Amino acid sequence: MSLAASETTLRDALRDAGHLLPGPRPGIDGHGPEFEAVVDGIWRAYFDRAPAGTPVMAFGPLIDAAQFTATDYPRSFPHLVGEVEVFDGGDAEHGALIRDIDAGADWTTHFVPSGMTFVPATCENVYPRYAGTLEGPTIVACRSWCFRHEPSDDPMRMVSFRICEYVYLGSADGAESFRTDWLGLLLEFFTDLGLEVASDRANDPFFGRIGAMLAANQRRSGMKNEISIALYPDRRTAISSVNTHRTHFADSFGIRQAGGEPAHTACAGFGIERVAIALFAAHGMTTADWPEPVRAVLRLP
Amino acid sequence: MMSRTEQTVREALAEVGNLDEDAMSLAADASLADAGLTSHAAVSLLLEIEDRLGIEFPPEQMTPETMASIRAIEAGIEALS
Repeated sequence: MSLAASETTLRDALRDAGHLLPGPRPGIDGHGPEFEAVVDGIWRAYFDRAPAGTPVMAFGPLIDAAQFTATDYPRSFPHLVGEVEVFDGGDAEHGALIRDIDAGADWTTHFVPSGMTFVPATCENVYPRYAGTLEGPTIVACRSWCFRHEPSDDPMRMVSFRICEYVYLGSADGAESFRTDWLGLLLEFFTDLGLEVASDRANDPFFGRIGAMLAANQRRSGMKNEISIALYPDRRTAISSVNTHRTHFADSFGIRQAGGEPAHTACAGFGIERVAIALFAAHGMTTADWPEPVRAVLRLP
Repeated sequence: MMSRTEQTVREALAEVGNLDEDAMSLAADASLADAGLTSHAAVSLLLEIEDRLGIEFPPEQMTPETMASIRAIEAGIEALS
């Protein structure tokens, strides 16, 4: 039994309840106060699981363009990337810009790359900060706004959204233990929130011709696990993932273990709005009516 | 005697493979993954070989098996002709 009949019935129910404030194009709806209370409750409850002394980092939606390309994200998902451009002209160029806007012409030609891109996953802003030698195995809690250009009528698929996650940097064995431990922790976390979840190997939407090869590699390696729910009748919907990266980010950013060898990394997190929508689909559009244990975990007023 | 195709594959591997071992002397049937070829580097290698030889691998050959070893890549290229 699915939680919603279709993408549009779920989207319309969320909009009718004032949880999503319709935007002029898909994927950039605003959020009402009850929705935001759930969002805050979710990431706070997840961060409550942090081991003592865990550094907590929050970022905006941007990343340095050179650091972004070093993550290799554009190799796999160029279709999701957003690059930020800025105006750097003088008075003459400003005049030309205004004339183009007034004429309804293409005004974006007056802008140039800023050296920044939108960040598609929060942890990409963490790895470069650990360039150098780690003092020891490290776990970081982080959250930020993110951007992925995949506009859709499915309310679960947003262009602008927030991710919260834990990142591990350390040894190969440590990364593997982190993956096992945090996959278990996330399954328990969602179960405590009243969601019926299951985990499986991930199946990411890699781009184009070469994407077939990357997808086959991903399935075979088992380096990414997804946690999903039965939201729609025709398919399961992923709400969370746990990834190991071997030494990929260590090689890109020069992160070394105390002994000098490249660090292994892993991450475990979720899109916060996605989990919030899953909760509204599971428990109804009024949080006052949600099961008390769920309200308690989220510390809803 | 090394074939021209094998020579091209080894040169492409040396250029973009970022291997732990010497691409010119690596055994033709050695696992490229074991030699340090990551999945991302395998993509760069495939594109580099296509550029150098003016070929395009069809979708059914876009698999990790095609890039498993120098010999496997050679066989994939020969299957195109």
